[in-house]
Amino acid sequence: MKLRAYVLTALFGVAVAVPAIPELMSDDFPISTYPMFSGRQSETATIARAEGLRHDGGADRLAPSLVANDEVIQAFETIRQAIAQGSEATRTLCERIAGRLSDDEYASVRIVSSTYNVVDYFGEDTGPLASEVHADCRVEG
Amino acid sequence: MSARSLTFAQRWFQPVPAARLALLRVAVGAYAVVYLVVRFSNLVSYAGFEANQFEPVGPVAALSEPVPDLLVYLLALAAVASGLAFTLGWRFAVSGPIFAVLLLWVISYRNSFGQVFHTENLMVLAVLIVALAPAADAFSLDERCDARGRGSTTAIAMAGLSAWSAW
Repeated sequence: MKLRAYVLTALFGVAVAVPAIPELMSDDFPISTYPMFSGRQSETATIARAEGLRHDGGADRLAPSLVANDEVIQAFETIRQAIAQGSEATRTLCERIAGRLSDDEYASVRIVSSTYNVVDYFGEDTGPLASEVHADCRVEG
Repeated sequence: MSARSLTFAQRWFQPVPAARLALLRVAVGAYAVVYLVVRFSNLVSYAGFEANQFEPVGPVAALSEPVPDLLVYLLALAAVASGLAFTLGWRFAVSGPIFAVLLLWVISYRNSFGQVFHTENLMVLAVLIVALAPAADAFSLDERCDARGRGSTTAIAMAGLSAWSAW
């Protein structure tokens, strides 16, 4: 029993310590490198989102549950993956989201990404440095 | 060995009462079960995700594509059930490792669609460690059965049902 305890302690100790050497592994689960803390972060961040365009021309940022599930960052990652996979994947995602909406409320959906200066964003300049529309699709039904 | 290091070794490697480890089992197990129940709808929502989003991590990396939707639900339910057995200390030698593996799988699967969340790592590691320890020698149905010379299956089931109702 004592030997098992020592072996387990050593195993878990090594497993938890390994991510400190980034060359040995990338982010994983349950052992993580916690890249958002351990990596050097960029001054800019590109945030992707899905927007619903109303009939009056206004736009609403759509809820994460319309994109993926109730997790905001899962919705963001779903859009980011689609954009990274190309225009066809982005178009497919756009149409899937549009299929979850009613044309009583929205005329179309668009997939947009905006790049922000992360320091300025938390100051007075909250506007994006650049924005790009990746897909635009009609709401039918 | 110096007197100071001897004190250190005595402090860290002395036998601890079974109740202390059992309380840790109850605390860790109850937290994990409550987490699974509260986040159940989120955990099973991954059944509806597209295959082109699949970026497996942890043990799920053994798969090349997502599992059938029904299996996502069944494994999440099995994790809750085995978590109850873990927390109550029922057949812990079996239910402990089963819960640890199921919890690892269910949470890893949730993290396998592009977004690795970094919120459940400690919970999963804690359950893995406790599952491999003799954590059901006190405050457990196993202990009660041993005291009664292995109680009947009905008695165990009733105790489990009572605990579930109270919870």
